[in-house]
Amino acid sequence: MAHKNKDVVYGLYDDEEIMMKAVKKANSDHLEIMDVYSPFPVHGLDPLLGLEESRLHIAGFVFGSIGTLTAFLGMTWIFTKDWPIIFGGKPYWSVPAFIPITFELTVLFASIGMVVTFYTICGLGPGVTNPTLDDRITDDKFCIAFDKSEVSTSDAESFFSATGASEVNHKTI
Amino acid sequence: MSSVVSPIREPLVTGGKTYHQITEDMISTTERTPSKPWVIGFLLSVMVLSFGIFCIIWTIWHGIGTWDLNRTIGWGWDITNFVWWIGIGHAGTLISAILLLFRQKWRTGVNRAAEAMTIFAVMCAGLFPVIHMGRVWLAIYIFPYPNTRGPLWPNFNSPLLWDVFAISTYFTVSLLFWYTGLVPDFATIRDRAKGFRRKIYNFLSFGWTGSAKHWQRWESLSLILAGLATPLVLSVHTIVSFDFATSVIPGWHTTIFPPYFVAGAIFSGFAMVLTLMLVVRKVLHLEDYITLEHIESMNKVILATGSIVGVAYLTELFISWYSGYVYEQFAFFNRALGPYWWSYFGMMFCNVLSPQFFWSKSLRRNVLFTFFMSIFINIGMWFERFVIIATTLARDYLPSSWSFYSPTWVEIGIYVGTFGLFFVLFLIFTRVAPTVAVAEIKSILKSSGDQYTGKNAVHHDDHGHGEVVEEAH
Amino acid sequence: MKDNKSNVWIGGKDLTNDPEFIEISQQEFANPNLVESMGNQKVAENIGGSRRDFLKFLGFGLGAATVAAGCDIPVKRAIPYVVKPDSIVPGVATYYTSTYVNGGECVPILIKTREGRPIKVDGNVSSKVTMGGTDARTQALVLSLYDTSRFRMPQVKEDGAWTDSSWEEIDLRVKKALANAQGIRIVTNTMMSPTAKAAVEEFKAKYPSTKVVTYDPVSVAALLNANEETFGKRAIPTYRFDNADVIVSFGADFLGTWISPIEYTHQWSQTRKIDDITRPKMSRHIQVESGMSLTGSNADNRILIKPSEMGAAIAYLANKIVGGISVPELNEKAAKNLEKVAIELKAAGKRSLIVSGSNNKQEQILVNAINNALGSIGTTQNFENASLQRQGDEAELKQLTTDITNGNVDVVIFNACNPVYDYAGGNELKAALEGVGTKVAFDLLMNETADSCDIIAPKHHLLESWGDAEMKEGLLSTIQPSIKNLFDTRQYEESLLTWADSPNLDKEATQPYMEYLKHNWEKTYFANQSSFATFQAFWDSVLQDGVYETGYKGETPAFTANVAAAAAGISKPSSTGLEIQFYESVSMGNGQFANNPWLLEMPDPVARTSWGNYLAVPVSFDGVRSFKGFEGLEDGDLVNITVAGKDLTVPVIQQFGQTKGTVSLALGWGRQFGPKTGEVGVNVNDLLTVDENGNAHYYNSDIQIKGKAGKEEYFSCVQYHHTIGVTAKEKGTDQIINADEAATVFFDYFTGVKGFQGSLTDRSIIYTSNVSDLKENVDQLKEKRAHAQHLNEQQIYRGYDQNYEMGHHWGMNIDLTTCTGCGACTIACMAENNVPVVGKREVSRHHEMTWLRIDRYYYGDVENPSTVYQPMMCQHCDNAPCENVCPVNATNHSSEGLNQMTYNRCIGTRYCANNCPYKVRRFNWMDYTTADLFPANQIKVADEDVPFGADNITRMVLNPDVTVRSRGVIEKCSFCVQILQSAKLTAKMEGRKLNDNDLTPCCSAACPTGGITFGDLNDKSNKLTKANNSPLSYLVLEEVNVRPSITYGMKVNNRDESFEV
Repeated sequence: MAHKNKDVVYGLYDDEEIMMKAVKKANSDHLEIMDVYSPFPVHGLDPLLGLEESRLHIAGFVFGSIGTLTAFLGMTWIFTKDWPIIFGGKPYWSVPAFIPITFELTVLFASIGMVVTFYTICGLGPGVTNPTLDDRITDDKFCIAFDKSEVSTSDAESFFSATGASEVNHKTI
Repeated sequence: MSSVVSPIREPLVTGGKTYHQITEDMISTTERTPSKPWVIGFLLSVMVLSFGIFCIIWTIWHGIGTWDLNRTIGWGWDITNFVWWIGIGHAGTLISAILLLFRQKWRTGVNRAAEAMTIFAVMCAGLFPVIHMGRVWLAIYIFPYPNTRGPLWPNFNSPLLWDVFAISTYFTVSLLFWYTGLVPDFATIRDRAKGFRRKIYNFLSFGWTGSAKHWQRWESLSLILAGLATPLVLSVHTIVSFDFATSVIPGWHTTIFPPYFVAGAIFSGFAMVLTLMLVVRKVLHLEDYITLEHIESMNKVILATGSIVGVAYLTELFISWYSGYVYEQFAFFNRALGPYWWSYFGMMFCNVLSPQFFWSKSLRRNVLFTFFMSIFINIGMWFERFVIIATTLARDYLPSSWSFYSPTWVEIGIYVGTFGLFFVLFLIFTRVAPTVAVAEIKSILKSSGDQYTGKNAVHHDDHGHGEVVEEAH
Repeated sequence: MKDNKSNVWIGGKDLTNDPEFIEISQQEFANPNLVESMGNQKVAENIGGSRRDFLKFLGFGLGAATVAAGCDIPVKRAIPYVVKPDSIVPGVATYYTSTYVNGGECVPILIKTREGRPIKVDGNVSSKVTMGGTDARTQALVLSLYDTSRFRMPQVKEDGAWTDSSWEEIDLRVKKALANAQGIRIVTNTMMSPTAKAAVEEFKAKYPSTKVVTYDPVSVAALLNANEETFGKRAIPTYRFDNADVIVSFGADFLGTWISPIEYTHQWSQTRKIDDITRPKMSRHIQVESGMSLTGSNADNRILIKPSEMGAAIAYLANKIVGGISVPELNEKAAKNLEKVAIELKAAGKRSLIVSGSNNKQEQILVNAINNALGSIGTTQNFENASLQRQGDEAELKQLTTDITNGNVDVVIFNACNPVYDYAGGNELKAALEGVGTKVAFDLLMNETADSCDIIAPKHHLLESWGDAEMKEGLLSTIQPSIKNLFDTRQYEESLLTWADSPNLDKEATQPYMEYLKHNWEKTYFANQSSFATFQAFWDSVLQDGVYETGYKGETPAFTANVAAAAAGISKPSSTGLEIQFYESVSMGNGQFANNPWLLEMPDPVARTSWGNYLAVPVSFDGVRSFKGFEGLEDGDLVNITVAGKDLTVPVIQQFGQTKGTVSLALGWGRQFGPKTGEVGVNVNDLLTVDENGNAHYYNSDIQIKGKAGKEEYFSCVQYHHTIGVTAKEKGTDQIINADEAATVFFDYFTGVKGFQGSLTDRSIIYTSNVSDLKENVDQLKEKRAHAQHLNEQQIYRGYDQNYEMGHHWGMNIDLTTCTGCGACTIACMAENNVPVVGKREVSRHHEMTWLRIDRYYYGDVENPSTVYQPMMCQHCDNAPCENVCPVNATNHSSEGLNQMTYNRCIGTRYCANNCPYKVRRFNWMDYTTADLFPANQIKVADEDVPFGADNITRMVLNPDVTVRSRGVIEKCSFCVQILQSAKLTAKMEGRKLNDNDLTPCCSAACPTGGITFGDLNDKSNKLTKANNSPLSYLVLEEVNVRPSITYGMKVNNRDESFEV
């Protein structure tokens, strides 16, 4: 999600466990990791990188509540104010009959809202092209990347060699 | 290759795969030129689909009168097929959502295809409520939209309208869930592709990078969507069952319907998943990813739900007798011994008796047997819906209006046509996307694969990753 | 131009010939070409296509194109008013009195016209005879007016082919023929019109060699001749069923088809009403017959005999009452029962009535003898105003045939009758006619007889004609046109007078026959009355009322007969096994209605079959599990039978109550010229036997069943399940068991069309009782209802009745005891609400569209059951299940308690129909009304060129107040909301409250027994509330808690269970 060009030095690891240890080392060496890329979610990585828990579920809750209100108040207004009609001797405001639709709209709003949020905050979406460091990252390589403006190339290279990275590359993104 | 085995349970990924091999095995299916069976299957499906489309046009042009429904029996194959397809759809969501919530790792092998199946099945299902309308061209009336007719809204009391909301919500959510899961794998394909193909997959993958933060959010999103999808899938079939449960017709007006329908849905859904997966597994050589372990677990679910459904049938019979309500009693008597007795017994045999074979482990793990059983169950569940809908309507309160119903070629054609639609979509899917969730498989490789590296790992032989194993201790 | 005046006819007023009026009218009317072009079939049918096009032909009806302004399609060839006739208000109906006459049938009616088009027929309440009642045939009258296959102009046959001709030409030809004719015959069905008779007299005077041959399609000649012999008066007495405590009918279907069914049904129902359940009083009605007739199904007890035993049965009873009569041997069950009947009759004395449908003179004499012995003559029957509704004798036709063959006849004029088809010796007659020089037919439509003539002088349809009818001595009614003649036709009276060069016929008059008619009335009736000074005033009031009573009261002559001699002449039981009985069906008569789709599609009240005649075979219960049709025949089987050497293939219907060893088949089907229908059913008229007096007997003892010939392709029966708890003897134990219950076990699979099976006891659909145990049945009903109401209390939405507490809350009450199932209401409903006709194939697929059906169930003994008829239409439930489930609000509830359909909102999910406990909602499976864009799915009712109703003539019958439904929408009974609205409007304009007489949906208006009461449930003082408060009232399926607005009255009969069954 780089917006201005960055000079990046990154190392590729063959296995997530080596990579994990590398991350640990980076933390102890106080090397500022720009980002870590992996072909699948590596568990236990987040705390090491100091990522706090995602707040997507809060978004979900908010959107859901909007759905609930839209549905229930909408139906209430339509059947009691906008155009009251007698159906099968039911009262105009026949609450039990409103439950299913209320529930469905809750779920619908929550899901759509969340997904949209997710892609927005991740800067992902149809047509978006994010620069990638290495094609193998989505295959079987685990990548730790340093921003040269924060970590000197030499430190980085020594770090990579020490932590058993299989490759070290430089790239501007 | 080393084969390190977890003593705790059978590995879910066998064959000592490396991450790269997994990628190869999965992605290559989208890169190869289509195999002969695929091509044949595809053409066949297209033909069937075209016939279905012809029948639909025929219906719309000539009127519902081209079906053999009548003044007494207003719904027949149309709604039967609708409920049947919806039921089938449910398994996908269940496998991906509920099993995700329960952290059932074995789902990873099948969830992708299952979700795809869900989406395609819902498409087939959604077709029927639309074309069964006498005036399809006015179908828009069912949506609450501002119109020039003054404050004219749909009837929110109508279970049929609940269906509209339920089905569309269900479809949307399943689609989002499925696609979000696909994004990283599309990225994988992208990064292996060249030229135009790369452009397409770049578009499809939404510019996925595999950044740790993205993975984190991606996981929590999947988890919450799963959390939402689970009650949703239950609600959808509950609402479908309301179509009948909220009516006043004996045999329809039954409080047991919601749980009974949901169980039935899971039942038929899993059966359909099996039918498909067993074929995919064979054709795309995914034996290492869709293992006997998977098949057995699913058979267990089938056994369970099948028995639940069985109990439901018996409960119905008991309650109808116990109610002392003559119409209710007759409705069920008529189901079992009336002119449609064969559909009732078809249902009983396929849904209740046949799954009992799965008490035997060897049969649970017998691929061929499982395949035939899954077909059986799908037939049985179709019968169940037919029994509930047609035979109930055929003889209700007023004996003067009793009648009989059998489908015309048009109705049959439309049903067959939906298979065409389903398989066309499914076959295309197997070509454009990995039929197994690559990223997820990779993520469980070490924890539940045969390269288990956690505690109590037993070292078998020693090259390649030996060092890794050491490190783990 | 001139003769257009008739169609602004609005009763007397305009007869003043006020010049200004004529002036106006002359400006108004369409140019003659219009009528001419209508004359041309192609033009007529090539015009336009949209459902609203019917309006365009108002042009020649009235030139009332102003209405067409309401159409959004260009109206072709419509002529706008220059000055609007003040009698016509577009959108407001105009009513004319008239009289429905069809041979011997005569019903004073009120014709409703809209913008000059007759669209509906109601009974004329001023009639002392029919009391405003109607029957299905009367209700279907309007449709026959717009029959596209009517003759458009005179026809002449040139070398075997019919070609259009002109009046001038045929007048010339006929006169020439008449001038040098030695023998002239006018063949007619019963002629009740005094003026027409006068015309005939003039004709006779001009051509002395003229003889009039009168016969009736279904003969009661024996009765007439017997009366002539025993009372010296060849007429039918006025029966007073309402004065009878015991009614015995020997095969006379007096509630369905016999002589004057509307009159008799009304009288009969008077003796069946239960006013006070603590002291219930009800007449006894015993029917002696073979097949289950409409009357028999309503009888308290049926005595089953073979058709050939009728004489024996009558003689047996006569012997018991009169004595000294030798009785042929009779099956002993019947004998035992007649024993009981004799006792009842003796007890009832002069308050008893015996009638017989037998066409054997001697048997009728015996019947008269019995009545005489009981002293009932004068109380339950009299000759004060003897009925003239049957006058024919088919013996005259036999005579005619011989005369022709002897070459004594060179001109035959058929007055709209069809002996070639409906006379037993029709084929001989047809053959003979070859030799007649000139054969003229007055007819509306081509028929077998007309086709064997060589000149057709098409007559006006009744609704275009002037005339009068004397249905009973001294009781007259008038016929006036309500529309100008659609085609180039001429009243037959006018033709006769023209040919007779009558001096009294003013050819120059705009309406010659009207003038003639008035003239005749002036010198006969006006002359003999005192209440009116001017003839105009007299004539006006007569036309206004539609009926006129001369005040004539005849003597009832004494009975004299040689009973013993008569007894010798009765028909003897035939020894052979199987016998076939032929009966007149309620809808078809003897073929006169074969071209009326409403009647073709009307299910037979008893058999519930339509579109054809079905061989009714007896049903029995095998004592274990299943009902068995005679010789294993099942519903819908095709069977080969041989009657008197003639082979037939007919479909079968299993008929409960059919006498063992007999089968029945309806008359009137298999018409060769039902152009709209092709050939439907089989013609049985040539299977009748004719006795030495030349009287036709409606049975044949020479029949074999040759075995099955497959299945009927389109078995159009609207009700497959017939029983609601019939009982039968169990095999072995001989205990009486519920056969329906037993029949459920091990049901014979794979035959969905078999109606049987069903544990049908305790269904809260039908409640029945016998007068004797009325008390306890009422108590049971009370309990059941209390229980149901208790259940209904348990609901989540309590007390939302306030929806309906304000203003009106429409409701209906239907008394099952007086409902005879005659079907007048079903046809009235079709006419009023534009209910489409769907044709045989669609009916066989259960796609019939009738909003109001009459369910028929049998209960009691399986061999000889009682019957209950239940008119079933939308119940307008206050908790309507259909409303909850419609996704688009197409059906919902009005604040007046109507369950209303919004056709243009309906998307056709059929969910409402599924969820209707009464299954009264009807779906437009295909484009029955030819109303939508897809021509492909327009249903041909039969083999017509354009779908029925697609042409612009037939569309003129549509009621503009009721939407014509298109394909894919649901429709159902609306309680005739259009009538309610106009009633409310009228009351409002007159500034008064609605009263009972305002509110008459067409079904209750049509009902001859007044069994259907409609009203406002919120009005606690009206007829409806009174009816609903009866302890006999119940709601169908009350425990389902849909709260229907229609209340039914328990079916009570007076069956004597001690009778042998």
